[in-house]
Amino acid sequence: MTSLASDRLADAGSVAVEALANSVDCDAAALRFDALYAAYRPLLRKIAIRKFGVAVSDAEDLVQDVFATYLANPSNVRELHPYLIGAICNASRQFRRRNESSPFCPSSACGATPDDELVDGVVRNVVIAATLSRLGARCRETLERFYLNGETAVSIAESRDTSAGYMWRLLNYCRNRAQAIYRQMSAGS
Amino acid sequence: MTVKHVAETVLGLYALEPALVPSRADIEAHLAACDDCRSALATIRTFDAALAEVDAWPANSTDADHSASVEQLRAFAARSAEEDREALRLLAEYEETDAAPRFVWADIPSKAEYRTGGVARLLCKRANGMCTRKPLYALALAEAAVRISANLPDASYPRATIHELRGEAWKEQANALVSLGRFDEALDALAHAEAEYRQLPHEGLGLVAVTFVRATILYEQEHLESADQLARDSADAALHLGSTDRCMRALHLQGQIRHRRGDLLGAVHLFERVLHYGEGIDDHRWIALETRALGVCNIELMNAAEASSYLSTSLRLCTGLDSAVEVTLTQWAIARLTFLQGNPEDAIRRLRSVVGELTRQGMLTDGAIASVHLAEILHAVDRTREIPKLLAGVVQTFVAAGMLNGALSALAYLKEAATAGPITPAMFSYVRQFIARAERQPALLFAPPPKSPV
Repeated sequence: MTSLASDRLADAGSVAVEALANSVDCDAAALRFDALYAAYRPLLRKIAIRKFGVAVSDAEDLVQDVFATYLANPSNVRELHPYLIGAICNASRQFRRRNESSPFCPSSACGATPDDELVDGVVRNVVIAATLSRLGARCRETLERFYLNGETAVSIAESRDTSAGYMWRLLNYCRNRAQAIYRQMSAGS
Repeated sequence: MTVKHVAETVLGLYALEPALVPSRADIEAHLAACDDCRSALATIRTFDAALAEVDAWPANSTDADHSASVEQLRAFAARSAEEDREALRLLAEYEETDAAPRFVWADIPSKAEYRTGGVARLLCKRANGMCTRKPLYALALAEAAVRISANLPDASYPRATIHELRGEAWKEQANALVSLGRFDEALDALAHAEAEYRQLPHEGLGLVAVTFVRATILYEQEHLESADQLARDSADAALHLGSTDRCMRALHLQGQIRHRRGDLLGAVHLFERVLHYGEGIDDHRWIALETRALGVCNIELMNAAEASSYLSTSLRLCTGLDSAVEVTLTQWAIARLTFLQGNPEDAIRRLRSVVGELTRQGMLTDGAIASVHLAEILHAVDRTREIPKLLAGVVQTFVAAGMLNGALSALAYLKEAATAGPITPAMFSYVRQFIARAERQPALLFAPPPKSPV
C-alpha cells in the first residue's frame, strides 16, 4: 500500500508542479520542492489533524517544520514517503507534549500509516488544487467565494453589480470548466 | 431506442440549486429512472463537496503568512542545492584519501568562502565514506564540519534546522572516533550531536544514528545488554521514520551481539531477517554479508550442510561485488567449515592462504585472529608444536607495522601456553576476542583468562 500511495502522491505532485512551472521561472531544486510540497502537504496536514488532533492552525507549522528539517540534509533520507509520515507523527506528538498537560499518545509506533481513503482524498485534493490554479482568475475567485468562503450567489452577484441568475450560470460554467480540467489532469496522472 | 440524457450543464445547475432548473419535475422523474444521469449527478456533487475543502485550494490563495513561509522554504531548497554544487567545486581537490595532509594544512574553516552549509554537508558525507578507509582523515573532515556549522548564523537556516547540520557534523566526528577506538571522545561527540538534534522541531534520523553509534560503542566495550537495548531502540526508531536500511543495520548489530553472547540461534534469527530484507530488494551487499554471518553461526552450531550452502552464496556474491576483502573474509569462514567437514589438512592450507591474503590487504588484526583459528586447528590435529612459530610470525608482522597494542601480549600468552601447555579451546576463543577488541581500543591491557574451576 505504501509504495502505491507514494507513487500516486508523486504523480499528483507532478501534475501540480507542472501547473506551477508553466508560469514560474525557477530552477530544478525549487521545482522539486514544489512537487514534494504539493504532493505531501495535504497528507501531512491531515495526519496531524485527524490522527493526532492538532489544531488546523498549528498543523501548517508542523508540516513546514518537517519539510525544513528534511531540506537541511536531504541526502540523509533514502525513503522519503515513510520518512515524511514518521516525521509528522513525531512532530505532532512533540507538539502535543509541549502544549498539553495530557499528551495524546496513539497506541502503535505510528498509527498514522495512512489508509486508502485518506490517500484517495489527498490525491484528489492535490489534483483539484492544480486544476484551480489553471483556471482563469475570475472563475477561480468566483468558485473560491462560493465553495470555500461560503458566500451565497446573491451576495457575490451584488458585490459585482450583476444579477443572481447570471451568477448561478457563471458558477455552473466555472465549475464545469474546472471539472473538465480535473478530468483531463486525472487521466494524465 | 436511444435514451435522451439530461445535458451536463442542466445537471450542473440542478446540483447547484434545483429550483434554478426549468421543468424540475421532469428532470427528477428522469433521474429516478436513469442510472447514468444519477451517476453523473453524483460525480458533480462529489466534485462540489471537494471544492468546499480547504485542502483543495492552492495554498497561496488562502493565507498570506503561509505563502511567505513556503516561499522561504522554497528559496532555502534552491539555495541549499546551489551551495551543494559550489561545495563540490571547492572541495574537489580533497576527495581522495591522499589529500589528508593538504586538507589539514589548508585549514578551510578559517576561510570565508568555505563557510557554507553545503561545505559542511559535503564534509560530513566525505567523513562518513572515509571512516573505514582512513579514519584519521575522516576525523579531520568531521572536525572541520563541526567548526563550519558552529560558525553559521542560526538564522541562516529556517525553523531551527541549523541544528540538523550541527548534529550531523558531531555525529560524523563520533563515527570517526569510534573507528579510531577513541570511545570516550566518541561518546562526548555523541552528547554534542544529541544536544543539537534535541533542538530540532521534532525527532529525526539524527537521533536514530546517535543511538546506533552508542550501541556500537557499548558492543565494542562488551556491555552487551545495554548495547542490545540501544540497538533495538535504534531499529524501532529507524523503522518508524521509514529508514529500513538503518533498521537493518541495527538488527545486524543485534545479531552480532547475540553471536558474541553465544546465543547462536538468536543471532541466526536476526541475520535471517536481514537476509530476507536484502533478498527482497535484491541487494547483493546485504545478501553477501548476511549469508556469511549465517554461515559462521552454522559452523559454530555444527550444521555443516547449511553453513556450506550459505557460504557458497556469499562467496559467489562477494566475487561479483569485486571486493577482494569480502572474498577473503568469506574464504576464511569456508576454511573453518572445511575443518568441520573433517578435512583438517585442507582447512590448514586454506587458512594459511587466508592469513597471507589478509596480511597483504593490510588487515593485520583479522590476520591475527585467523592465525589463532589456524593455531586451534593445528592443536586439534596434534600439531601443537607448529603454533609458536605461527604466532611468532604474527607478532613480527604486528611489530613491523607499529601495532604495539595489547594483542601482542595476548599472542605471547597463547604462544607460551602452546609451548608449556595445557591449552584449551576456551583460551583460543578468549584470545581471539581480545585481539578484536584491542584493534578498536589500543590502550586495552591483556589479562589472562580466569582459570576454569575443576
